Amino acid sequence: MSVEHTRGQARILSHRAVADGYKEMSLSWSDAAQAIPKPRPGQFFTLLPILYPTPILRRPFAYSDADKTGFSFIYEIRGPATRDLAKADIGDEIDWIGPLGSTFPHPPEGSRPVLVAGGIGLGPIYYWARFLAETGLKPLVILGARSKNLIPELEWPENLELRICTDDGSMGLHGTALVGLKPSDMASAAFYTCGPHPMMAAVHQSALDSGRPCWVSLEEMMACGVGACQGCAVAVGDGTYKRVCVEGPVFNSREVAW
Amino acid sequence: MTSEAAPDLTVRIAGRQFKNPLGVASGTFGFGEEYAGLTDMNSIGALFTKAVTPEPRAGNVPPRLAETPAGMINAIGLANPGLKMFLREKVPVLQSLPCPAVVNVAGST
Repeated sequence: MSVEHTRGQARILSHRAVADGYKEMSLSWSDAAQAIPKPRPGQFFTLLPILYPTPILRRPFAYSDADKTGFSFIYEIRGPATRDLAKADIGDEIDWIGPLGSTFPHPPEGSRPVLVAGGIGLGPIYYWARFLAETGLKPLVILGARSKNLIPELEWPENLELRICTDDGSMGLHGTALVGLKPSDMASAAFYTCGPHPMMAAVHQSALDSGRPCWVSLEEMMACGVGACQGCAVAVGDGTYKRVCVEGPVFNSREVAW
Repeated sequence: MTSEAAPDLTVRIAGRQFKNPLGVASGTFGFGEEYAGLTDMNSIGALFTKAVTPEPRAGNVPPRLAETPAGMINAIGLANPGLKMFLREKVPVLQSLPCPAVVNVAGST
């Protein structure tokens, strides 16, 4: 049996607010990370809640960056565990297991990557966008949020096209992330999306209508995060289930039962 | 306490001896391979597998988990690959573990 993940301790290097209710945390690798491959865009890790044993379950987060010094993630302060996490200070230690799950596949030859993110789906899309930009592809990145104050302040590379959409029109295009998709984008698009379920379903439908490939990064409540409990199952088209933590979180959108 | 004075934690159940009374309960450790590299299986008295049924079971319609202040409740629905695949793919893994495995079986009338 092959083991591609491990458990380690990380020290918080930085921890900042990036939008209303959203924070970005960067952590240093521990020695344990020497034994594992570098996390790839789309993959995730689990953190032991900062005041364990309450809450009891580890929390999964997608990487928003990873290099030789450490890794980062962006999270929304949503419940008790993330409220506690938001109080963590620089220098505090955090227990992680990673890297876990599947990765975004490379876009097919001749296609242009079109990345659509909403809400907390931004983290893995941010990592993937910079990865693609480094390889010389010029991805189109569409960010959707309810309002300007929910668009995270991040550094984007120059060789990508960024379109911001807000429901209230306070920043960028007025409307949902789908407003950011122009008919001319469709012909060569390879879609990647992460965020609210209705947004991903709409991107999947656009890909279906235009006959283009689409991959979705799904979010589910997890207990173990390593494939043992089968608690994070999602329905797939053939009437069976797949585990978001092992077969996902990245799926071909045509596999998923929407 | 010196190592010579370490307490004897062995227990006997149904004529079998286990090195300690710590068992990882049904579903928490899958079929033994998922926690490879994360847990020292030598430290466990016994692994209790997920339930195995004669035929494969897809499990319940999600959601399957809910966290509570005291832990969590789940309704996975006995999802498992069925006896045939269990014997072919899971048993060799279980046999390779340093701790004994207790197979959890389920059926219906």
